[in-house]
Amino acid sequence: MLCYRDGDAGAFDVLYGRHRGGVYRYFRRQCRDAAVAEELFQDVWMNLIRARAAYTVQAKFSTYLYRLAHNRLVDHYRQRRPTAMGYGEVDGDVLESIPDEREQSAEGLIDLKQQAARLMALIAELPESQREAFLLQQEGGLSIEDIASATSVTRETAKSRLRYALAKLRQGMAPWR
Amino acid sequence: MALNERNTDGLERDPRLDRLYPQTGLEEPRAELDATIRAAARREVQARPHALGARLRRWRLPISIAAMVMLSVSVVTLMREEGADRFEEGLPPTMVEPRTPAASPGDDADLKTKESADSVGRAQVPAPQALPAPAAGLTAPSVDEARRARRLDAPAAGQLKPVEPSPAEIRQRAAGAANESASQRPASAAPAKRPARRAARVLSAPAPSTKEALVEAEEDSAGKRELKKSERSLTESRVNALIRELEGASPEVWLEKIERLRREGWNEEADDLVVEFRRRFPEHPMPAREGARGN
Repeated sequence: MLCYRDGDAGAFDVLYGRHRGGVYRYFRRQCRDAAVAEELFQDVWMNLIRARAAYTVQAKFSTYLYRLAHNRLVDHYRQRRPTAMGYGEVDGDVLESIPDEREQSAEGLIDLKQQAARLMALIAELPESQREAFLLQQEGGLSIEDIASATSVTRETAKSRLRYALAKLRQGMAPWR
Repeated sequence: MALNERNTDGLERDPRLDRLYPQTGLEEPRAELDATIRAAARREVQARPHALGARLRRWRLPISIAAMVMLSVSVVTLMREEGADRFEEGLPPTMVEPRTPAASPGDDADLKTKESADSVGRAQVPAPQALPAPAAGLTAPSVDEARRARRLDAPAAGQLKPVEPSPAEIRQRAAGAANESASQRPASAAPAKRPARRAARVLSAPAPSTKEALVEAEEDSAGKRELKKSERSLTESRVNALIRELEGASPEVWLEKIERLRREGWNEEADDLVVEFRRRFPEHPMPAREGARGN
């Protein structure tokens, strides 16, 4: 980012290539509307580009980037309170393909894709803050400290959110153990 | 597999979820979106190849250091100048530089000339009137020389210019100037030897408190001690120069030089020369006057 700040356009391509997927999925899995996710995604990168001259190293770049993403998402929530988050519409076919737990255990067929679909559904059901903490960990590779910094909360709060998120996901995935 | 595994560094992770999560699908932004963002990034760089903020940041440290150095140099220079002023103020009459050749000692015009010369620069001070030197290679120390001596120890006497008045004239002029400046000062002011510049400063300033007076007195005494040291150092330099000059000369020439120094008022130098004479020519009889002095 420092190279890009100093005028190296190629450095931006490297950064973008490294983080585009994670940031996109961060938005995509918190918004039910793909168009909104794309809009937020674009906004974050445009904000980054505009702020390049003022960039100073205060934390890891990924923490900085996901802080921008978090702030943009919060703004979006404020503008339009989202309805219940979920993937019923977007990933409806995936969710529908998830077999009944009893059927699974009865048949003993555990498909990795089915587990993944189940996990997606469980993530969608998480409270926003817990879902965000989990996505920051998975997509951004952020530590608890970085999550706390990106979401402007204390370390303990971030840790607590992540712990609750993991507990719920584990509980939801228990039948596939 | 246990889902409640945690690593030891406090980072909560679940290995099974970590493995499973990538299977949920790696959606990526559309290529058009990528192109739009990348183009915007390039446009931004082309519009402002080197952001002003970035350039300022790059130069912030060197500029700060340069500013600090300049400030330090300025302060040190100012303090030295102040110190030199104090030094000048504490000069005994023998060390006071004659102001202008024509003016009488303590003359207002003379003081004004000195003031203006100081403000413009010391290099522009008119050269003092050339008076006969008391002895070859021997001069009375000017203020600048004394200042130089204070900074760089005693300079070689041979480097001094023989353009100064005799010691008696210097003392007379300085005494006149000191008396005049003393008459212009309030009764509570510091010793009467202070030059008129200090007197003018005191007149324009409010009366100093007791504490200030004490500080001034301390500064004066310190300045005088320093002055005596530098005077002695200059005297030694002059005597050494004279000894070098008289190297190999006959005792009569030595005595003649000593006599001449006495006539011109350089008694301190003459005394030192007598000591050296006695060391070199212990057998040679001293003139009656020198013998009486020695006793």
